[in-house]
Amino acid sequence: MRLTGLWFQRGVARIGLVCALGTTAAATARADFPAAAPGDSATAPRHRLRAHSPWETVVSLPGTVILLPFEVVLGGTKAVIGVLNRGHVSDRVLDVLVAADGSRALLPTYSARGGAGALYQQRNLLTRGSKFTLSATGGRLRRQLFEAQIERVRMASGRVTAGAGVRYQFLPDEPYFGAGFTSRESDKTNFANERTSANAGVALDVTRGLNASAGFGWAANNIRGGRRKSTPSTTAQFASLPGLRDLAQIVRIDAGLHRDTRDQRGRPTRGDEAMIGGAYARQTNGDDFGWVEAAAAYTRYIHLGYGRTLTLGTAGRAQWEAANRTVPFYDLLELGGRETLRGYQRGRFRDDETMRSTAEYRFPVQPDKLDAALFVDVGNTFSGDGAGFSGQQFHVGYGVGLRLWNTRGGGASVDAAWSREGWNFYVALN
Amino acid sequence: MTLVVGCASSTRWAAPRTRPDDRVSIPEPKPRAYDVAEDSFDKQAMMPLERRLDLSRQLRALAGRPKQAFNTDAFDEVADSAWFTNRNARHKLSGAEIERGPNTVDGPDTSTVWTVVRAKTEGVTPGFAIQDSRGDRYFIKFDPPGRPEMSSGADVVCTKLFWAAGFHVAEDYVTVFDPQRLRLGSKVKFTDKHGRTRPLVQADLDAILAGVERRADGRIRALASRSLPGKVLGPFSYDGTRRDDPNDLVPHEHRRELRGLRVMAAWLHHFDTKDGNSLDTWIDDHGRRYIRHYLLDFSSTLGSGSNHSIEPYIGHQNAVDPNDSFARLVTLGLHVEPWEKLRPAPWPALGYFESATFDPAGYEFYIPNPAFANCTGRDGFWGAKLVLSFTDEQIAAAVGTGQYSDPEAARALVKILIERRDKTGRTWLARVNPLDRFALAGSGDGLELQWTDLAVEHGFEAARATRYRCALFAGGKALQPSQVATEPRFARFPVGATQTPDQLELRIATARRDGGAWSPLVHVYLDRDPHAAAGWRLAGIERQD
Repeated sequence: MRLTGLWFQRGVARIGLVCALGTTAAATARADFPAAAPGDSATAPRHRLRAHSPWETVVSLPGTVILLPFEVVLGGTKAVIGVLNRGHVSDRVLDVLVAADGSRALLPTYSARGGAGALYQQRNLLTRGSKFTLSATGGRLRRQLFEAQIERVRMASGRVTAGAGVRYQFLPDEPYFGAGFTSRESDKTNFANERTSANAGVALDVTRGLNASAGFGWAANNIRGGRRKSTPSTTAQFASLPGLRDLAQIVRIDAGLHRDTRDQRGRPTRGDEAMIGGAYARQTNGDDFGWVEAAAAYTRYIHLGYGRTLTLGTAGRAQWEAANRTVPFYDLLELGGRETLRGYQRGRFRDDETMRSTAEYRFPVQPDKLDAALFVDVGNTFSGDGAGFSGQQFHVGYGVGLRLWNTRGGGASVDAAWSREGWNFYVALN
Repeated sequence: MTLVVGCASSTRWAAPRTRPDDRVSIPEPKPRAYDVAEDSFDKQAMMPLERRLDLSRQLRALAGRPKQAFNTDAFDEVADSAWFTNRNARHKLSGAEIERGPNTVDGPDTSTVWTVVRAKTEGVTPGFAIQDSRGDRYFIKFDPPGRPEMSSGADVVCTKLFWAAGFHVAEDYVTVFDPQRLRLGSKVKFTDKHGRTRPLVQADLDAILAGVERRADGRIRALASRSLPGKVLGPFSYDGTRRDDPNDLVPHEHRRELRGLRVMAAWLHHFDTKDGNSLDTWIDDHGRRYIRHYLLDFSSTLGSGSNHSIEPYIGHQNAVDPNDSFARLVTLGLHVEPWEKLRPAPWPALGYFESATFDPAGYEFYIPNPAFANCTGRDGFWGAKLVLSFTDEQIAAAVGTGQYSDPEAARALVKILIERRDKTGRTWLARVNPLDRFALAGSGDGLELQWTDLAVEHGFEAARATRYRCALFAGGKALQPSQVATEPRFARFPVGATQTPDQLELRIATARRDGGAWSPLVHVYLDRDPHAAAGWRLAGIERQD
């Protein structure tokens, strides 16, 4: 084959285009670079060259037109970013919000249940290692949540820590589908729960990672008709539910063991977390409610390597009515929502006993910034007689999620979960 | 019509037009405002969109005819300019010259008091400016805690290498000083991290020095970067031209030096090549006042991230890389990138700097660079020649200026740089036909063209297995059948016939083994020249890529 054949190795179809590009570019070059005395660069013509030759400008015209609105929007965004940066706005705001040593932070927070608001954290308030949290959120239908909590205040030799908190919440559209594993999605109602509560507790650092804790709590619950008009009110649909109309004040004592060997809290990649505990609760302004509760949970974080983590967890809880008293419907154990069965609506299942398991595979999408997750949740509620405890009755939800995180604390997540009852989406910030 | 004309014409090759000298006097330009956040957004959000919608660019890609650099000469080289001075690739520098680099003094005088004349905690690295007893001003920066020698060593080593390659750089020194010798100057301004400027007080200086590691004797190792001569005009841009500089005629994204810089920057893991790490100054060069363009701040090189050790993904993807993120998302993270398996070097001065996962052509810069995005095979070949110009000894000489206290770390750094250099050469020399340094010999009735095969010269390919196919053309027509040679020369081709036109073209392809694929062509053009010894002279070359 002669060398000239090499000219055609890219294919005949390209030839015309190649010729056109080559020739027109050369022509442009001649127009852009008028002849100069060879070797005398100082006397060469001083014409500013264009990045695009005329034919390129013409050919690119459609793209330029498409680009125009983007240029306007992105150009505006760029200008705003520039103004903010030159004014050091982000630095100033961040410095107000988060102390350089991490001892103080004011963060935006959001959850579907509590609404949007702010979260203030102060570490080392009374003793080294303590954490004080103040949060206030609000949202649609006048939902509101105010909370003050102090944790991990060191006492005595430092092996004992104490904590206390108060909380007021008004949740206008808590869902109720009826009790039991046979409840139907179409039976959804909603109620408003105005709850004021206080708690205090101590924890003993038994060994590294293992804590024994005991606590005391008080709560006053005032149940009213739900404010979400699109679903019936629980007060109308389930008129005889225990705890529906009366203001119930309930005290609670609890104790438990908690083991935590996670390598980091925000984004654990290895270690485990185990809990076993019990509680006794009783009404103080009447004799209707009283129960005993037991709970156990175990979560294992398995590092698969290179930032990939498999999380396996299982949890079970049970309640027993105490001495002819009963459990108010809003304190029944529940499944559904972001913390338990993500494929189902929050509070979708309520009963005396719950059991659930989860498996989540998490992997990095953007190093040091963004993770993605695939998960499957399985679980159900059961009556005290064990009815419904069979493989066929377990509810399964599958989903995917994105987790934004940073090393200075804080994070955001978006989850989409699917079950036979449809899709559920969750957005959470800090 | 254009197609027909295009295919039928241009049988005589014309050398690219000579660029005017850009070092002639110009009126004093105004400083250019620069905002790093705007620049980052521009490069990460707007530039990719503009490139995708640039249909002429897509057409060129489809045709395999990328736009070549605008400022190359007949031999695909660049002239000395306000951007670049040909150094090591043209005339091998001695070890002493490499060690001295751009330096004109021996660094700040540490024997007497340093007067602090400015300070800042703004930006990535806190630091301050001093004036020494000689009246020279330096900006002082420090290594991050736990990483002594990392950023100061990297900066000085790379300053020497970039200078030796030909780029304009600042005089950077490793210095060790006694903080007790620092004195506050009068009316010194201090810029805090919020950009607020106020008078500097001792407490500010103490705060800057509080996080700095000290030696056993209380002294501090730091990087001292000498103030550049001339009026500071702000960073240059890697695209467009500077409107107030009449010398600035070539769009920067089409400058060979800036396109080819991609190769050199990847070699040295200089991932942070944003506009902000450059500087224009209006200088007085023996009476000529023009803008000189500098590369600045090499403390984010060789595995250093200036104030921290870099993350292993640096160099493998952009700061925000939607394409990589999407690929990882759809593959569910099951594919593990080689860089994810990296472990940091055992020497604190190096961090993540290695050669195993280094991909010279696929290297990704932290923020996309418009000039690098235009880098063609020819630009890459030119950049690779700069990199390959450094011998093992020269690299060792440059590393020596980093003054690493651990000889093991220094040896490891030299080894990694040599391995990355060779990878760079293998990659970019394979993109074109890597024949260079053409020479013409012989008389009027028979000429011999000789060349150097850079792939063979650097040991990337075996000479005995290499074949060169050469053909002689005139006016687009073959004058004789092609010949295959085993030596890097086209011997005694006849040019004495009176019918021979004024220009000859030799087309040369290279194959690395029998039956192996032929490389892209190099076209070598000869012009008849009665004044030349052989009656012909080399007019220029053109490489396919």
